[in-house]
Amino acid sequence: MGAGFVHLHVHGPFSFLDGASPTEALVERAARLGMSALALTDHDSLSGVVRFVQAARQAGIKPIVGAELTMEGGFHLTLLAANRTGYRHLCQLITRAHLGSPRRQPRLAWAELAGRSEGLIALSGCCRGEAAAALWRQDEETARRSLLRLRDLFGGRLYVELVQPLWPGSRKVVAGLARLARELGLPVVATNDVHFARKEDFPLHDLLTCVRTLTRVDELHPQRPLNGENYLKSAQEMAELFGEYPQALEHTLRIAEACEDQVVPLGEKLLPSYPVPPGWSSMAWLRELTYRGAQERYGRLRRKLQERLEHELAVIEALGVADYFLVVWDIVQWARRQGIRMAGRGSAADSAVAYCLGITEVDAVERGLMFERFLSLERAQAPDIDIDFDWRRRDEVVEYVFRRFGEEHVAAVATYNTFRARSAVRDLGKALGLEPNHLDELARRLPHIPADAIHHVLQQLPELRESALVQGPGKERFRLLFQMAEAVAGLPRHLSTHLGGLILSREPIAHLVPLQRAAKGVVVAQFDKDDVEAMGFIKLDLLSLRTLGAVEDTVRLIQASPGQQDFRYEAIPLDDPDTYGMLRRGETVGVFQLESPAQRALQSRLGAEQLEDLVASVALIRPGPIKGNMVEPFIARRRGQQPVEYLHPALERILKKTYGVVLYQEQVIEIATEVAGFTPGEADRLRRTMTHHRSQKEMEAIGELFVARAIQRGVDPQTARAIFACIEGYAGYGFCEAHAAAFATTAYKTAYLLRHYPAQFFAALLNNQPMGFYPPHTLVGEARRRGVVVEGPDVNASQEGYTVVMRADGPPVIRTPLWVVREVGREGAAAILQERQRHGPFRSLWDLCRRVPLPVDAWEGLILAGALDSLHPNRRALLWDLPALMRAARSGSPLQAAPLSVEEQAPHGLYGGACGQEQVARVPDFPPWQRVCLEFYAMGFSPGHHLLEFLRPSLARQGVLSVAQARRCRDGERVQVAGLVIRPHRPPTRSGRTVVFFTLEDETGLLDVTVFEAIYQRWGQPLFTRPAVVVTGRIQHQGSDGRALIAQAVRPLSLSEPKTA
Amino acid sequence: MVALSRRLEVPVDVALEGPFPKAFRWRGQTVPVQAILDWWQETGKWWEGEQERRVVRVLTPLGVYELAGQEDGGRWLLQRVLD
Repeated sequence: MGAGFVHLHVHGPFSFLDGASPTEALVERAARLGMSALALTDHDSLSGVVRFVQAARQAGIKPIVGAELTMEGGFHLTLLAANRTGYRHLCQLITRAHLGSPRRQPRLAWAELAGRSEGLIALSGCCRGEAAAALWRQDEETARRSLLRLRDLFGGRLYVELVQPLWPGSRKVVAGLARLARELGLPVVATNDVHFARKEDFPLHDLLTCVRTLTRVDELHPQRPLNGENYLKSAQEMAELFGEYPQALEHTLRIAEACEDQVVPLGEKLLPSYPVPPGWSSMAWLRELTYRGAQERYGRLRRKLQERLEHELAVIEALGVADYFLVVWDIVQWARRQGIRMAGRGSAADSAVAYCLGITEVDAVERGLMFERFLSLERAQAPDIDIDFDWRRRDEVVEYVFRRFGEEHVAAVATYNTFRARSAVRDLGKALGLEPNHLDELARRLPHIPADAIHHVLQQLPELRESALVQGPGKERFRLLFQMAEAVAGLPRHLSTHLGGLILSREPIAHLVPLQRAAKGVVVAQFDKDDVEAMGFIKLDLLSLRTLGAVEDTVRLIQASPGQQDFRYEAIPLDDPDTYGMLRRGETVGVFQLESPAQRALQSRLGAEQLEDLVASVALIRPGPIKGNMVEPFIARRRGQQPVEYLHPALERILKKTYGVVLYQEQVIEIATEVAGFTPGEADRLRRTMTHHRSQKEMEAIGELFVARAIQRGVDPQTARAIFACIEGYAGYGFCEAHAAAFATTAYKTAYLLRHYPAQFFAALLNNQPMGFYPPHTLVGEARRRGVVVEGPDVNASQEGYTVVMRADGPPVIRTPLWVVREVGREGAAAILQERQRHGPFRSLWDLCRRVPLPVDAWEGLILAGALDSLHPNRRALLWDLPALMRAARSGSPLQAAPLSVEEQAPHGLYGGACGQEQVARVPDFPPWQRVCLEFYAMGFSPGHHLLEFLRPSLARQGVLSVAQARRCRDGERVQVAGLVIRPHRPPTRSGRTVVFFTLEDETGLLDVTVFEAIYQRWGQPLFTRPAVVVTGRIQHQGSDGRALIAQAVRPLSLSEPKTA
Repeated sequence: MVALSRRLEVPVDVALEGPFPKAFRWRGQTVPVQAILDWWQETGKWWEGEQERRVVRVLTPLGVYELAGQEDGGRWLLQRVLD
């Protein structure tokens, strides 16, 4: 027999910082307490409902979908959807509350309820309900009026909500509400305004309330709960609280009964019809466009191609997704017409139709890619097409989609930022009253891990284990912090916009999902990508890719160079020997997808000679293949050091391009069809089962089916088992070939740009920061090493972005823009440029201060960065005189009116001689070391120098080699090398042990360092805490040109001013 | 409505009837509880290890007092006197 009570007012994690238990924990507890149903009523949100419905069904209890709406005046109103109509009205009301109010302050006008109450059951609200709040103020008349208004709106579907929070005076309020209900003939209902599952979860809820209200635990705030009573109480506990009001308990069951089981429309077809030309059906129009595209791509249509297109079109028709392809085609066409650089990615590149429509640039037929990896009848899953756009213009594309398909029919998909180790430490630590700088230091040392893994890394990582913070006098508070962080792990912190996901719907989206406004004003659905898929929406992924911005900039800079106006990115030859030579040397800093230390090492060892090698490279350096030990066998076979063997002749065709190694997911599908006669869809199901690491039992069952089918087709049992063991071992780690191929093309082309146009390429990379693996100072160093001169910013020469000057009589020059200087920013830089364009070059610091009103910090930054060197070379003197000049400029002293002449320009004087002062402050300039340090401070890099240059003499005396010297050492030679620590990271490893990889950077180049666990535990502390280190270790040769250092010891390197010998 | 109150936080012996006080010892005399006016739950400084306590506002011949007892029914404090 079920419990005699159901909770109808429950806040889950999507009440954001006001719900402290995961949805599953709430459902599980309700089920364990024998409750037949449970409602979810988050604040102004239905974000949690899809997973709530799924969890409730799994637990065998009825899900009741609702929300607690914030009404005008800040009052709360609890609404439950009794049926589909109610659900639709709830979506509309929440949308209106959000879109009609300032962001993050949803408020619904009472008038909005009129006409939208059908299908909704209203509970009058918790202690912040209008009636209850009035009674707390002892204003019975207002309470009565409020209930009457709700009765007019909801009629017999209004219940007076009784909440007993066990606060001082709450009994009186409950009694008052019950009395009013009797007087007005309204039924009462008991709730507990639940915010967490168990009483012991209260501290986390209180702490989250502190985070929400920006208070510390030892501070008061009216929204902080007085006690921990708002948990999911048992029927017995609720009966004890509401013994005087038995009907209030009974009515919970009546309401649960009245709510239909399936109010959320899940799994429906929601895609809009594409507006095809008159006389065409969607499918016929798609076929027409596909064949037109095929004609353009291939010229002559071979039978094999035609068969493939027909097969794909048949699947598209059967799945009813022709309109989806047309929508994507439309968007791509538009973007192309606007000149927006784009590239399709992901499994859509397995489709020949997508290639013919111009959505992707990978020829699926020529590569022999399996369409079923993308779409299959058996899987019957919605297609998911991802397209990358130049990051600066992606929003234009999104705006077009809204315009083209109607604002009401398009929305961005939400994503939820959940608490992870760093965010939990920062947020909860602040609420616990810990010092912000201590929290910052701790958070920066934490790897990107879930919040409940902190305890593990505290013991494991030396930079944390040895931290004085965690071990010091305040360690008890830190212990509490880690305990709370563990409890908050995985709870959503806030809603944000998915990077690229958009949904389109034939019905106005606000009827199906509530909408709200995210940052930058984007209208976003309250559901994430999994939820929208479960609902039946088809998602479009329109992503921003900075690499495409860099490509666009490179192309423009090349075309602006003498004799290069006809340069075309699309015409880059895919077989350039110089480019492959560069790749083989591992000189790939800046190359899309191939620049990480692991990729650079792979390139050296693999000996890339063709695009196919790059496709494999993109697929190989992933956590899966590394953990699955696929890299070494692949390299050995590729280099002919291991024989390439096939378990069965049928595998040769499939695995030839990967030297017998199962590397791609498409290969698993093909093996299953070829060897065991699976249909392509069945084969993809097999791949998916393997990829998602289902149960051992399931794997065994599939294995038996595979072997039995293979035997039926004449394969001997032993071979059949061996083949299955092989794909079973690799399928979980395999990568989508189509995706790898799409990325590899861009990777190769960026490598080509780097090899042949380094100045333009590095200028473009610097213009599109932050992007890629390396910080700007590494890119600047790389550009210098490639013979490019990098000039610092100059108030009279810098342009809007990094620019390139090609010189006939010298190396190319990259000129740094002004916005890179701290405190200047884009606006400050634009102000200087505008003034220069309007009234000519600046003649002195005085002239600058007079003509451009910038804050003192900005001027200081510009001076330290060397942007005024052309006006006067002594930076310290400029700094010295700056305050007086600014004061004069502000006050409009005679200096301001004084005429300036060409003759009066620097270097005669800071003031341009305008007031008869020829002198600058007589102070010596900064010494060279300090100038470089200050350039780093002002810009994050030094255009002309590397810090290590200055330490070189002293390092050399200690026997510490430069990177260039170390690279020339023998394999296995023991060396000491010093440098800046670039990107230390601990990727997953096959053994599961911690291995740290980082790059040492000095004035001569980069050297990748590997620090194995034992060395890391003993010496690793400075790697994540200090900017520069000296590493002792052995040189390892990787291929003919690759070099790495295997660390044996690490010590910090002081970057204080070098002593002269 | 209570106009004034004084916070005391003084440990007192309490005789219980069920979960509620029926009398307490104060300044050498036993003060009988005439009526329970209200009661509520209060969470203390949980971050410093304090437990939740039940606060009971009682009417006595001497006036209105608030007694606070811990969940386990152990220690009681005379928390406040309302003038």
